[in-house]
Amino acid sequence: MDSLDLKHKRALVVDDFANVRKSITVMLEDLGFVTVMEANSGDSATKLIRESKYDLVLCDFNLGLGRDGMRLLEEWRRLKLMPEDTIFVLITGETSRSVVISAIEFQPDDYLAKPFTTDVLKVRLGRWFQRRQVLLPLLVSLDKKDWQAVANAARGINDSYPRYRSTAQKYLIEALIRQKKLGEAETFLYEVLEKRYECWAQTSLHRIELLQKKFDSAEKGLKAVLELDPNELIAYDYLVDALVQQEKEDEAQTLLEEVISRAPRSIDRQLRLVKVAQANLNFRRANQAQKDILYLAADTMHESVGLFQSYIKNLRDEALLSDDLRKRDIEKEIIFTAKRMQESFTGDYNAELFTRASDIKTAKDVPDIKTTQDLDDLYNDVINESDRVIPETALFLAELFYYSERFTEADELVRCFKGCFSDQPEVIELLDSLQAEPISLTLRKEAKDLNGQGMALYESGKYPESVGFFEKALKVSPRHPGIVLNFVQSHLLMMETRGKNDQTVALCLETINRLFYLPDEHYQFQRYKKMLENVEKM
Amino acid sequence: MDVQTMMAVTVHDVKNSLSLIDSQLNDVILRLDGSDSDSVQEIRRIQLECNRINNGMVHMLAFYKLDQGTFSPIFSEAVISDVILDATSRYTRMLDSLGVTLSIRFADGDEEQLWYLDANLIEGLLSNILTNSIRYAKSHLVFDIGVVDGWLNIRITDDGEGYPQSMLELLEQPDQLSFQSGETGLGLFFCQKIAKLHRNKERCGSIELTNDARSGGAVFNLWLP
Repeated sequence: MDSLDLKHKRALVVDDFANVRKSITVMLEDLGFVTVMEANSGDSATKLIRESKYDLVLCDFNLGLGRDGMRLLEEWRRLKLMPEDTIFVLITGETSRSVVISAIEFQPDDYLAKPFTTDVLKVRLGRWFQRRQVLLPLLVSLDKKDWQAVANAARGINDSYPRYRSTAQKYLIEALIRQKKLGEAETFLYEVLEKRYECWAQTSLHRIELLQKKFDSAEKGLKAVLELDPNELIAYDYLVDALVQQEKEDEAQTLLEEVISRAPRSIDRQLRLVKVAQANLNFRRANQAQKDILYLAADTMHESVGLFQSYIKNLRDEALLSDDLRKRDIEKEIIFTAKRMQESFTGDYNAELFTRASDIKTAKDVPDIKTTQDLDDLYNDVINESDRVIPETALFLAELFYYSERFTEADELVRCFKGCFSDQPEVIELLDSLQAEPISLTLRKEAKDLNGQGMALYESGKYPESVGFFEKALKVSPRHPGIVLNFVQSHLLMMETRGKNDQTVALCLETINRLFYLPDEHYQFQRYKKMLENVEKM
Repeated sequence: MDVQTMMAVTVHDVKNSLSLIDSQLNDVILRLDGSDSDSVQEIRRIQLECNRINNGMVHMLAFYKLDQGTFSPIFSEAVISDVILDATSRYTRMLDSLGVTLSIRFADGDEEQLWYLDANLIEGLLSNILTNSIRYAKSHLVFDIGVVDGWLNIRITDDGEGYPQSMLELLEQPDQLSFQSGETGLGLFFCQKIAKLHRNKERCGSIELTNDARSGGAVFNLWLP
């Protein structure tokens, strides 16, 4: 302890209670700190951390209104406000630790339970600074996402410092997986598990199975993990992945609801629930999750115009399918949320675009000259400044133009936005699906089911029957590449046995030409090109 | 407000008060400045009771949450000496004032011995036992740590009068909690539950109470797989 030279180290104490701050400060001073700063809220702490570097931050989990200690840590790490050699300790209740467990890169260095004495702090301080010294090279590499260096550092620690072995092993596995060295990771995990069953190691093995697309086996394994340890939160996340990959969205939703009830503060899980519930056409549940997200994100770095926009958009989708009573509630909620968005993001470009598009959409029920003019103006404004548009606004705008049956402009917007978001594959995917199926999620599901039934018949050689289903699917979703191509392919095969029919050829040509928008890199593009050639030859 | 939130808030509130009482008592001790050792000792015993209340609250909330599925033990490799030091360091000044010495002995001298456990829960368990041991020890407390047949054994021996017969029998009875006698065995009940949460294949942790054959002092044994 004495060798620590605390005199030249700086500490920051964050707690919303003045007497608690004071008592911790006195303890730190007793132990040798000369510089101890205090902050009573997330904002004041962030201000201090921006201004200067601290060696130690002791932060209470509960900070009253606004961000909690965990969010603060996440924010400081994401925004790189706090250097890697700052020790961050979260002060929590003994039993609330599992609730605040987060991703590996946002974990505090330690947890401390209140009340603690000076002697407890003294023992811990020695440990924290020693640990930091050993782990620093690893953490610096982690910050740079240099996974090779993380793996090397982790191996070194695993071999030389038994006390940090467990931490090092977890970082090593993370680094190997990030480098796609799955075999190596597996071998290492089997060695760990041979010594004794460790939940994290078993879970990591199933995470690797997921990456190897062994979904069924991952599902079974993760269920077994949870059977033994129902509180291994991360195993739920991987199990949800395995279920979604196997299109078992119903089960995935139940599971997400369960894990959220255990640890309700994760925004990522709530976002996941929104998607899964939407896939299940359970818009009400999706919107409940959206509402929870807005609550969790309030006054944190997660609060964004996009969150408000997707909530309002999804509320509108739900209203289309709701009874009058619910519709009235939704209308109130939309007005309230829109007001909150405008208050929080006054003058924001995307908030304004969204409001304009929303107004047109609501007025669109009575098509008139003004709406047409408004759409023209909106298009011209957006197309010139598409690089300022965020994904949520982009999707909402493109959808508005499709729904207004202005396909040329809509396709052009999609092309333009895809250029802007070329580094965000998940946004590209959403834009692609919107372009392929500019219809509601309910209708998409209907088309998907019809297409599925058609495919089953096609595979058993019943082409005429399959065509019937593809035709019905096309009525619901006229420009979906998969359905269009299935429809044309079935006709071509039928003509092979029955002989060419000019009327059918014309129908095929008209249908396949709906895919003119398909970009070269689309996974159905080659199939489309080839089939188009075949039809044109005829 | 649901029951869990109500309990959590109550525990939080009580702990805050206890913390305040503790720090005020420390101030009084500082003011006495060694001039009245009897009063200091008395205050230390009051602080010991505060610790007992604190432990009881924490354990109660933990098991309630465990039951509700909102609390999960976090099992990982931990340095045993760290866990013991965390549990004992909060009593450093109390032991000094009460004139009780504490020694920690590792059977094979390996102070960096690791074990797979929930460090937080075990720290709480040890702290719980310590409040009792300190209360009854005359002048000495010993921690003995060793690995026996693949089990981790932490033994706490004091030089007091030993456990009364009723306590020794407590763990053998199916329903250990009793409000009939003065001694409810609440602390031990929690300790046993915590030990049992620790499993390795078919082995599961346990606690054991005996009296030292020679000195007659109380011996608490924790066995973790």
